[in-house]
Amino acid sequence: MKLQAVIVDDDDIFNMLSRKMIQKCGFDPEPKTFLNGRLASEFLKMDYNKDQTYVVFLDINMPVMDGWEFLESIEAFANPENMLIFMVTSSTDEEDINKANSNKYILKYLSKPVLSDDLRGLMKHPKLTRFFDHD
Amino acid sequence: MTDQNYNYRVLVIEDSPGDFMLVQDYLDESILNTELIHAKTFKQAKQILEQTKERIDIILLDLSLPDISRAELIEKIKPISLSIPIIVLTGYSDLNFATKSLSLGISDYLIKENINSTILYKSILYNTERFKFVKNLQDSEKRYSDLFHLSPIPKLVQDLSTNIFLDVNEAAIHHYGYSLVEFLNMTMDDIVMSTADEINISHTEKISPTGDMYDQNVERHRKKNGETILVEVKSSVLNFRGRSARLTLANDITDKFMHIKTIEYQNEKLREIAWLQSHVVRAPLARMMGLIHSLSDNLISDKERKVYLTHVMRSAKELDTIIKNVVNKSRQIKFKSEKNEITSGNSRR
Repeated sequence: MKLQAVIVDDDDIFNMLSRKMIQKCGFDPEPKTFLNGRLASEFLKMDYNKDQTYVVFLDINMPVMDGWEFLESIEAFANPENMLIFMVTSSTDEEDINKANSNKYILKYLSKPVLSDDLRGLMKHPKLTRFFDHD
Repeated sequence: MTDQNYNYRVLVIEDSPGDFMLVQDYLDESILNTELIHAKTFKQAKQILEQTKERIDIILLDLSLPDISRAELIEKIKPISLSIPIIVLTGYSDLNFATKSLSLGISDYLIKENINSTILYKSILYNTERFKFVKNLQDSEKRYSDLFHLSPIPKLVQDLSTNIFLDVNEAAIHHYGYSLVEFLNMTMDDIVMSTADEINISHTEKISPTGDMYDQNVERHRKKNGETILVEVKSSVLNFRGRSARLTLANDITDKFMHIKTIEYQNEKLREIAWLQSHVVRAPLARMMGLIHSLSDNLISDKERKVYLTHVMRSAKELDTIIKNVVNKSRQIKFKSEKNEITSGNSRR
């Protein structure tokens, strides 16, 4: 079982920061970054295989294809068992939070910025803990 | 309805002492409790009617008095007797005139030669009771008329076949600026500029609590001075003085409509601000927090540190611009008079 981190955000500074943080924490040495939902969805569709677990850090507001549309687009091929999504957004809109909590792919709603401590916390999530050596 | 103990106060206007005594005798014989007031001339009667503060239930009037008689007498006594019924006492010789006197507002006439206790008793009783009944009817009619005329909401009655106004109330005259005479030569088309369909506001037929169907919709009306108003119109069909008519209540909602428009506008701006707060303002702030967090990490290179600091500054500037936008939007929330916007245009004439 392998883990693939995927970052989807139209803000390239965030992508850079998140990428570095994910690497440093030992979450995934080679996370993929995408600037909108469509690019991420296309990659996942091509790359998808059931022996790999995908962890997606997904922004909501993006051009071309936003977070919600992305979630609809992966329904055709992705199984929630190995497609784990963290909704990462600067929005504090209650409507967004409620919507995120009722989606089958979404494990957690995270508010930006996601810091290294947050990532370490996620690594202890019941669905993820088996991928990491905890000292 | 009649009370046996009721004390009838009767004004007898009679110059002949003999005739007066007869009346007195008849009334004493009857079971009525009466109190007689005697006037021998019209002048005396006038004095009594104008000065007495006590109630008078009925007047018995001899048609030929020394000072005035017949038609002139009735004409003069009617305005001062006000709401008191008058029974004329007359002889056979004047029978023709007595009959005519009924059309002058006299309640009844009695031929002196035929009077007896029973006839007098019956006439007094009948005429006082009938008068009370008629007065009640008039009061009730007046109450309904007041409901129409004194209502603060403009009310207009139009003939169903010709559409010409048959009556309008004070509020309508005051609100629209046309006089009653002007109104009575106009039709609804003269004040309606555009109907509900043209304003795109729903037209509804409703059932009133009493089960009658009435129309309710919003129209744009024009006043005499050219000002246009938005009016909520309710109308129903009724019988007015024997004709099929439509009663219309025209409630001016221009101010109400404008207040709602203003509030809607303000709400729209507040929604925009709320959206900005949650989606746009936090984005550069969150980015700055992320950058600063990474900057405090000792593992980054000097080159990276420089790049990060540039990004922090850029994000700070972005945040500044957004906050200025929010301030501008807040400024837009102020009372805007949109009266002209609402009421102008879309007119037929």
